[in-house]
Amino acid sequence: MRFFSSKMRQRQDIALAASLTPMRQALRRLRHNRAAMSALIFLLLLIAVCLAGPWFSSWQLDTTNALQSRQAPSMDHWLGTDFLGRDVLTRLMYAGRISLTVGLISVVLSVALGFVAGALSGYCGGWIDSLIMRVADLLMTIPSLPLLIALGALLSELKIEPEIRIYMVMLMLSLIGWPGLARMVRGQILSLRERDFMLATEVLGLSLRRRLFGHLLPNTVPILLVVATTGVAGAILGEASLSYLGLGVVPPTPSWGNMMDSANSFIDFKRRPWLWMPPGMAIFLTVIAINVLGDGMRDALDPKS
Amino acid sequence: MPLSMRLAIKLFIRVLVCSLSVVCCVHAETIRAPDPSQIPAEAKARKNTLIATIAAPQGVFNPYLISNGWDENVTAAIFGNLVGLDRQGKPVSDQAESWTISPDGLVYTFKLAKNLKFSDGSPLTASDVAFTLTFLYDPAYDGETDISLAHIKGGDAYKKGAATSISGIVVINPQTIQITVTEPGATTLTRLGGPILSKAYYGKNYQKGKLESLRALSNKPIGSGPYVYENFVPGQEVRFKANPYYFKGKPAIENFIYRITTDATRLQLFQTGGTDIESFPVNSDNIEQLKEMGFANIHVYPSSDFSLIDFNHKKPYLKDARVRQALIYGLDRKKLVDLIYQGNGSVANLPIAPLSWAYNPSGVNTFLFDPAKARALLDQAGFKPGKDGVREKNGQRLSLTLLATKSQFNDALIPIAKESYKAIGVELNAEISDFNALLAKRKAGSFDLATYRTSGLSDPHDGVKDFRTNENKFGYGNPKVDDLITKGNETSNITQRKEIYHQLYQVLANDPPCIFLAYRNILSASNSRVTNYQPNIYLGLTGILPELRLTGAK
Amino acid sequence: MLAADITGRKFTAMRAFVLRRVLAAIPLLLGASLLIFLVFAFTPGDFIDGNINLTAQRAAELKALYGLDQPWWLRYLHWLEKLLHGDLGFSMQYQIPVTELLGQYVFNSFLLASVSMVLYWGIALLTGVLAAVQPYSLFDRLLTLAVFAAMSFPVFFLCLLLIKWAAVDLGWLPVGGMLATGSDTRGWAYVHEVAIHMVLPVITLVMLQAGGLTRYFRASMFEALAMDFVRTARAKGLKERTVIFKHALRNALLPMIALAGFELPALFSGAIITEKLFNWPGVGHVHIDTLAARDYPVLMAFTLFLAALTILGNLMADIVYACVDPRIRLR
Repeated sequence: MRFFSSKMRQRQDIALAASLTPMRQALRRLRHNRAAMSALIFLLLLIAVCLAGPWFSSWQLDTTNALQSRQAPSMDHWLGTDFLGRDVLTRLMYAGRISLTVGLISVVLSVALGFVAGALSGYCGGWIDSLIMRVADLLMTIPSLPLLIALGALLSELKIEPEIRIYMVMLMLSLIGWPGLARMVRGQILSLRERDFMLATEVLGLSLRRRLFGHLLPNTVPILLVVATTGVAGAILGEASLSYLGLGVVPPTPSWGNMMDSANSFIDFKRRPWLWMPPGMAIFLTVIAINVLGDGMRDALDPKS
Repeated sequence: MPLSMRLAIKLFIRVLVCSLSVVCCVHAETIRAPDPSQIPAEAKARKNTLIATIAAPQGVFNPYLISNGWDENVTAAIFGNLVGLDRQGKPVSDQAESWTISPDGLVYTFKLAKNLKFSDGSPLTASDVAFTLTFLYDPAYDGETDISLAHIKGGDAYKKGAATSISGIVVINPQTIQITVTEPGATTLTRLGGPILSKAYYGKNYQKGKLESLRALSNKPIGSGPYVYENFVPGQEVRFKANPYYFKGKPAIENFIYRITTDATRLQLFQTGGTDIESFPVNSDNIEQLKEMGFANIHVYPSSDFSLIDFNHKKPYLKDARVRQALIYGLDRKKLVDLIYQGNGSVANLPIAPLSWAYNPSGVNTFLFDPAKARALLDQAGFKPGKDGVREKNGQRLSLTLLATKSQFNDALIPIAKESYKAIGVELNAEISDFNALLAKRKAGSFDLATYRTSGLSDPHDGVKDFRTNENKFGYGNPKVDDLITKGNETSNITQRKEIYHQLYQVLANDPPCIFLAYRNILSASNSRVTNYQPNIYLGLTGILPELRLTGAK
Repeated sequence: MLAADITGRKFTAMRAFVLRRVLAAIPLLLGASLLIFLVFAFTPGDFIDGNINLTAQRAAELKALYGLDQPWWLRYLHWLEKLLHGDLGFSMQYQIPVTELLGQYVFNSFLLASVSMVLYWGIALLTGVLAAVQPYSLFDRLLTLAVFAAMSFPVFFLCLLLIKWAAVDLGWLPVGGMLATGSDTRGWAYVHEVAIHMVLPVITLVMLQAGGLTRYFRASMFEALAMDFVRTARAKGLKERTVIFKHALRNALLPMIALAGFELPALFSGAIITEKLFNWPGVGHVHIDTLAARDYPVLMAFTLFLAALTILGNLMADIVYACVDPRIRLR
């Protein structure tokens, strides 16, 4: 069903396409996707709340209060307080800043690295392929856990400010995380390269840059978007496990991941949903929104749809 | 919520927090199971088997080759000590019936109990004790026991190869052994009176310098303790049987199992009857859950460890005692203890747990939380608030790095310390790493403050020995402290030692070597089918194991 | 004749390819081992540093006994020399040969991982393909929601919820471990006992892993269905089922082969959190323990073992690629 209706629309679009650049076409298509636009608006709102919200809060980020420990939501504390008596809502908004940045930065970095390396490798072949794949192999052979602990220790030796450290760790995560993606993109490219349309670009004598970014990239977009959307969720949650190893956000700075992690007893789970529900819902909704937006972007960008 | 009600709740909580923290600490407390009829069927079906729990035994079941405390728990059930500890941590006779110490504190004569036997039926004699102590002086010995601290005469000569035996160890008759040491020491008695290895069994193929044959027996231990080792299923359990040759008579419970459990599921396992004795992090949530089970006897008893923050005295700004005192006055330790232990811990001011015979806080500065006093002390020391509110002196800002591991305790400590110190104009940044890296960094001196918890300490000397000028790695030094520590270790007369340590603790408070944070209680629960269970930290589970009974056992 | 000749040529090319890749793996492994060694050597702390109760003198003595006082390159050469003699070394904290130690735990992890892997690949394949066939249908949307709900739910809570529900409240399944405490079962009774203990951890692993994989399958299948040859197949009047499962699915599986290659080391590395929560005696906690204690011989051996598996997994993925997609040239 969907198949035919999109066909119809495509036909209408052909006329427009002559007058618009592909980018403009994509944006236009995206604007018409209601689900994707609501997701985008939700994300923008979320970012706005995280950035501006704390100004309006009557509670300080780090003020502990032994008498207010683990209070249920009330008029004072809309989302209750945590085990140190800190306001959950205020922390949730601060945490959003960290978690969203961390998720986006690490995914954008590793997807960019992975794509460029995988595409070059798959498309050029020969020694470039061998070199990139051997480096990827070497990086992939080393389990990430010991590497992360060593890197964390190294960073703390360098006396880097705790606030900046999390971004350094994310950078390193991307640096060691790209090979898997690169191999996948390479596999995709290997089969795409043999397709007729790519042979055509070769015959037409297009430059490598145009062949890669103008023709191969759009065809790998679907898989990249899937990786990126699941990746943001993974990175937001992954930050929690990094914090657990002492490599992530250093307390008392909050992140959605470590807020959820600190409510890690069964009793909290059963009786004090305000400790883990807010960060859990925040992650859940963010991930869904990013995903819906990703789907919309894919539909918009994919030349075949 | 109306204001009055909120106030009422706040007051209620305040009362709760206060009353709980008064109750705490020195005395063990047991809450009897309200409804033993709720014992789960799985536990009832286990007629003559007791299941206790353990976290991570590694399978090295030799008391002198172990590298973690869990394996030590296993060996404690298998091996017998010459000297044990009582409920205050004082040495008492165990497999040694009695001992004498010469007035100069240099000659120890142990008399072994009669009819001592290893679990294979062979007799335990003084030559087994001699073998054990000699083995510890083997140059290839790489275990954690440091026998050199006992200073046995001729030990170093034997280690270096200048002698074929240790001159200070003399077997007088099969039941009596005499050991001469070169320096008196309060902890020497317990160092000499540790677990005994069988010479016939462990010494069979052993040659000096070659530990392989002995190491190969680590998974087939034989000792003279209450239980005999049966087998170890890695990652799952360690099984034992009652030792028929145990010198106090065969223990009443025939089978004993250590089951491996983890934090996440220990409560559920205990609830379903999968385990009989289990310990939990001490907080009101856990106590409440255990009460709801009905069949659980709940025991809250004091631990012998404490948490602390080390100062790096090599940093010029921490050399001034006033700055260190300010950092203690300025830290809200009470809040920390209340939040973490919820009435089952207390603020620490002495390097020894309240349970010990040496604990005497009278006259020792309690450093009650007092930000005003902290500010005044910092002012006196010349640290004045700078532009950003952080104090400084000659361009040196009071911005401190705290090394910590990842734990729930530190999740509370770091925010509280950061907040408290900000209020007195001190900036605090935390560095989180694993324990090994923390200790390495601490050793390398790249820190201002480092927090951790000590291991369980039985003798007051263990709590202070690192404060001696020549032992201290972080630049702490105080001649008066040195003198008192040496004095305290030179005699084994407990009345004299009490007085010496009391003086020492007062001196330490004026020139603080570190910030003592908290003492804590331990929470353990036993299925009410286990009777006679009165846990004590110095005795451990294995110390009271022979006395335990099971209701409904044949 | 002709067909046989082509197969034969392909086979020779394949053999040369495999041989070349295996030879190339040797310097790769050496490089990896050096890199891993360096990482461990420069991580603060060693086996002796972790003991807070040692005097400085005793600590120095022990470091000399373990050779930890030597420079890192000398230690590396020693380690390499032993390795070439087939000796993986002796664990410092477990005090048994490394091979024996890993042997005690690796199989348990493999058992758990392999069973869950078969399940979640199967589930992901089925649901992913079904979702792609009817994109934006109710089923697809619900599935998407479920996948992301599963992903934003922390492992910890998932495990606890399963234990609470299936083991404590209903009493159907054991809380944790691999065998009942004190059990002496043999034969089929043993298999049955292990299987019962495996149910909850397997469910957890499947729930955690199937979601992401479903997304990949869906995207890949969606792509394949949009290709020209599918249209051609449909135009030829082939049955929809044949089109989907024979033509589209085959192509959709191609990019998944690389993913399958990555899974090989995961079969042996142990699911750290799940194993811990369910008390499963796997290698995951040994890995964490040895890392915390800086037990280098075990760490090195285990890491290298995983490295070798990664290389093998990639190699296998490449071979399978070449077999199923004749367009790919072997180089």
